[in-house]
Amino acid sequence: MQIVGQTTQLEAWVASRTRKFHINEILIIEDRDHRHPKAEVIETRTFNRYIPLASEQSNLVDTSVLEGLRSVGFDIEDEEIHLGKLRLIEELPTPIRVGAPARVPSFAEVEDLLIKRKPHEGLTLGVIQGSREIAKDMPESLQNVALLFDKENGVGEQGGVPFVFDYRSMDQYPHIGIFGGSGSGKSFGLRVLLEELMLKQVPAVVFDPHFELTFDQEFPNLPEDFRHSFKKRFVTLDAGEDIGIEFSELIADDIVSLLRASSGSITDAMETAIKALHKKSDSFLTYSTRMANLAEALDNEKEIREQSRDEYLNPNDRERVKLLNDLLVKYKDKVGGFSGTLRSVLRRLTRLEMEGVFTSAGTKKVEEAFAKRQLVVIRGSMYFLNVFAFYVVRKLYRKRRDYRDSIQKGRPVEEKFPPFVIITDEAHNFAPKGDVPAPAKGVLKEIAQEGRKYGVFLVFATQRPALLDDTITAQLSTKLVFRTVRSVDIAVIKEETDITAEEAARLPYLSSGTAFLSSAITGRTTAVRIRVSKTTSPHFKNPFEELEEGFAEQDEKVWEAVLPSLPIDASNLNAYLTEIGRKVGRLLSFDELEKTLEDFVDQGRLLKVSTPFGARYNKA
Amino acid sequence: MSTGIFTLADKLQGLNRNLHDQRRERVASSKLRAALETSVGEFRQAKRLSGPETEALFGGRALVGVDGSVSQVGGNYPYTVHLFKSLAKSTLPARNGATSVEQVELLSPLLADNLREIKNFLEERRHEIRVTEGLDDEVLVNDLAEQQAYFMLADKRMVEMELKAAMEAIERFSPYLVLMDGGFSRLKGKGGELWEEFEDLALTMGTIVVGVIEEVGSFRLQSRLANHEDVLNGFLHRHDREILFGTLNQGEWLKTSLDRPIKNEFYTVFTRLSDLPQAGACDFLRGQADAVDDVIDFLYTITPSKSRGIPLWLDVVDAEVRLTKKQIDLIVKSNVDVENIESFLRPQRDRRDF
Ligand SMILES: Nc1ncnc2c1ncn2[C@@H]1O[C@H](COP(=O)(O)OP(=O)(O)OP(=O)(O)O)[C@@H](O)[C@H]1O
Ligand SMILES: [Mg+2]
Repeated sequence: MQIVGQTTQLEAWVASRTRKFHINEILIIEDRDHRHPKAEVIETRTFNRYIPLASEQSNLVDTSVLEGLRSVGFDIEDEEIHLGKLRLIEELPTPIRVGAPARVPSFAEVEDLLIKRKPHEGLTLGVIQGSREIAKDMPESLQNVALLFDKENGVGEQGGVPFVFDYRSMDQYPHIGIFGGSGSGKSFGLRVLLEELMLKQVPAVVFDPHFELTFDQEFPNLPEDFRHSFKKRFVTLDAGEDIGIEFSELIADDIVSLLRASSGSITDAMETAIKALHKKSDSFLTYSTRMANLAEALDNEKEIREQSRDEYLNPNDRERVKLLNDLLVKYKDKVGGFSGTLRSVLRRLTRLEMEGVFTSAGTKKVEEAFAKRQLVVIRGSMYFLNVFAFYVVRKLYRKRRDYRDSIQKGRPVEEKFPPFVIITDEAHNFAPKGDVPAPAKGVLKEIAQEGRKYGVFLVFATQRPALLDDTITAQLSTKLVFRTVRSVDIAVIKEETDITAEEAARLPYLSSGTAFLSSAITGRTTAVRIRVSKTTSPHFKNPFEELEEGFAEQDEKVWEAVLPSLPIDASNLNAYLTEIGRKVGRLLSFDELEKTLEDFVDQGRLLKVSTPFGARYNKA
Repeated sequence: MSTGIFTLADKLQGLNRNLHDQRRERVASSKLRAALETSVGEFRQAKRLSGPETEALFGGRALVGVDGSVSQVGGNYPYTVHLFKSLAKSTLPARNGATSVEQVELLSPLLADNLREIKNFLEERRHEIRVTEGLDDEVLVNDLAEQQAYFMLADKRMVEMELKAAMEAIERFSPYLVLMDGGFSRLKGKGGELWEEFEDLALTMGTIVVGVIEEVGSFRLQSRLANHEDVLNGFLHRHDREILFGTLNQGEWLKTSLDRPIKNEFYTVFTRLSDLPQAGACDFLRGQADAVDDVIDFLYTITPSKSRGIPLWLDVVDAEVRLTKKQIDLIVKSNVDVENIESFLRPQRDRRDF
């Protein structure tokens, strides 16, 4: 290996006749004047100068020619020349010496560069690309900590130096972005990151719109010593069931953003009305009742005004009339006098209430889990999560902030509250760019800018970095960039990371699970193959296989339950429902039982025969 | 645009018409071939050898290709440097693992030793070197003579280096076949004693040496054909290349008669190894003429049909021996100080800036 051609203080080409260069591998250039600098291979080429391209003047060489030369001992196909474009890890004052030999370093020579933390001190996310040869004399503690996976060969060896993310430096360089197109490996990578956070017992809350983040199913075919159970390290909570919004904690602006998030848009009139009617510590009941009463009062304004002057009204009515009249006096001008507006607001509020948004569950379960240093997975539809995220995030963030502030100011501490990480996929929905409103955007921006001080960190994954709020994008100190095809997204990535032009050009072609990690913590961009996860999502299966298997299983259960009851009287299926239902473990409807029995007939497992007493199902 | 260009176009068309008329006078190609067969030799069709046939022919011995390259740096004499490189490359490694022999040298009138050599050479060859008569200025005459001597010396140096590389390769690799790039006349003419030594070595070591000529430059056929009426009609200058152009089919070669060779010192055959219509030639030592059939078959085997008609092995050697402009620039700039380049080695035309 030797430096050839022209060099600069930053870049050079290295050539070899015998050894192919690996993209991203690190080499040492033996240039004594520059104290043997290290460089990374950023582009590779191989060519055979005797087999020129067909388009050049001397076309492809005839096979007889190759065979003739091979017969006298020369294999032209061995005459390849391998080239690698190098970029120095650190710039030099003068260009690299042309002709300097280059070599693969020993592990010890690049250890400081590649390993910032030992696996037990950081998050072991994957394997550094191009480090296979260097890894040969790596100490045992770094081996088999990040096995790799690919679809053809399954779970395989690590084959390289592990990439260990120094998460503790996040207090200086906070927040992580995970970008990549569909199928590029974001979810897979996120899962690995979460596993590592759980291993370090960092409290975290994940919003999971895809219902894919559970950790009790083990990844198939892992070797024994790579397996790990996360069952005790996480809880899943369903938004609207295990978590609710305590209405009394909301301020009027919150209600506006909630309704906006849940119903798309609301009018200015509605917003005015919502704000005008809200009082501090209103419960859902006090607030919605007030609104309903005012609507009623507006509809019957004239009568109420008259009746309020009527001294002979019975006391019950009088009280009611007074109430409504007071509302009119107080609010009519503020809400614009149109009851339809109020009723629109009410409809929206009631819908949320019925969906279980306003329960007293609050974030208690999240806090309990945090106390146990667990990972909390909050599941729900995107729409629902958007509604909840703002509340949950704000509440947790405030608690943490209050706790830190009290310590800082030497006030007595009432409630201990740990630092934590907030994680979400589809992050552009929670914090969209521009003036697209989203309830959680405000608090997320605040955390992006200030969270560091309080030990609150974001991990934002998205397919569309171009749609994510700019302020937040700029605050993500570490970015994990998977395959990206869209040019607008590549443009954002180029701008927001120190990814080079060569690396950006590779983005559309990265294989699923390979990413560039650009981080203020590592100081340079590292190409990383994300390790195999130790757990797998419940729908890791091919959906169509899953469909087949799922239904086959179900049919089998019913078949087992039907067998003892045969023959079955077709005209009296109702009589069998309870019995069979008990055996299957769920209630069957008449229709379902009939359909299933007919399916069995189609499959040839049952025979449907006519008897003098009507049709009957017999065993075939 | 000036109208001169149109005048030139007219004149070219005239030339073109002329050439056409000339060619029309030629006899049918079959007649030319018949004449060549009676007076020069027989046409043979080369065949492509199979792997085993080639192996049998070489008997485990190597193929060596030899070539040289000269590069000039600088400007007009004496502000110039010649860089030489010769290479003999073997298909099989020698016992020490090496697969080639390489020689490099530098010649420049800027070096006192070289200058002395040039002057001596000029003295020795005074009779061969003729400077345009009628020049009065003696200094100028001497300068021109010296310059000519220098170029002759450079040619000689190149040939010597090729021969030396070839000889060392024969000793090291004991090859079955050595291909020299270019004919033997130049090697013998400029190599002098070294050529004799080379010839002797090849014959004793049983290594066949062949000079491969891309395009024939000889002028021998016309005298042989002189007594065949009209076959030479329509050939302008009657150089061999003109007569043979398009006459041979692809893979065909003209096996000249061994009894009446067309060159006195060597045995030469004419070949067409690729689909290009011009003829090439191969020089053999007279003592090795029996190998011609096998060797031509082999050369045909290793010549790509879409190529300039040179066995690929010589192309490989050629590519390796040549110093590119970039390489030369690089070694000159990194080894000679700028002020020296500027004051001694900067060619005039580099300074023009349009
Ligand atoms: N680190 C990895 N190692 C091996 N295979 C991987 C890895 N990451 C992803 N894959 C493969 O790629 C597939 C798609 O990955 P993943 O589901 O993470 O994509 P995604 O980026 O989340 O896509 P989407 O944006 O559509 O959700 C996975 O099912 C897996 O087969
Ligand atoms: Mg995904």
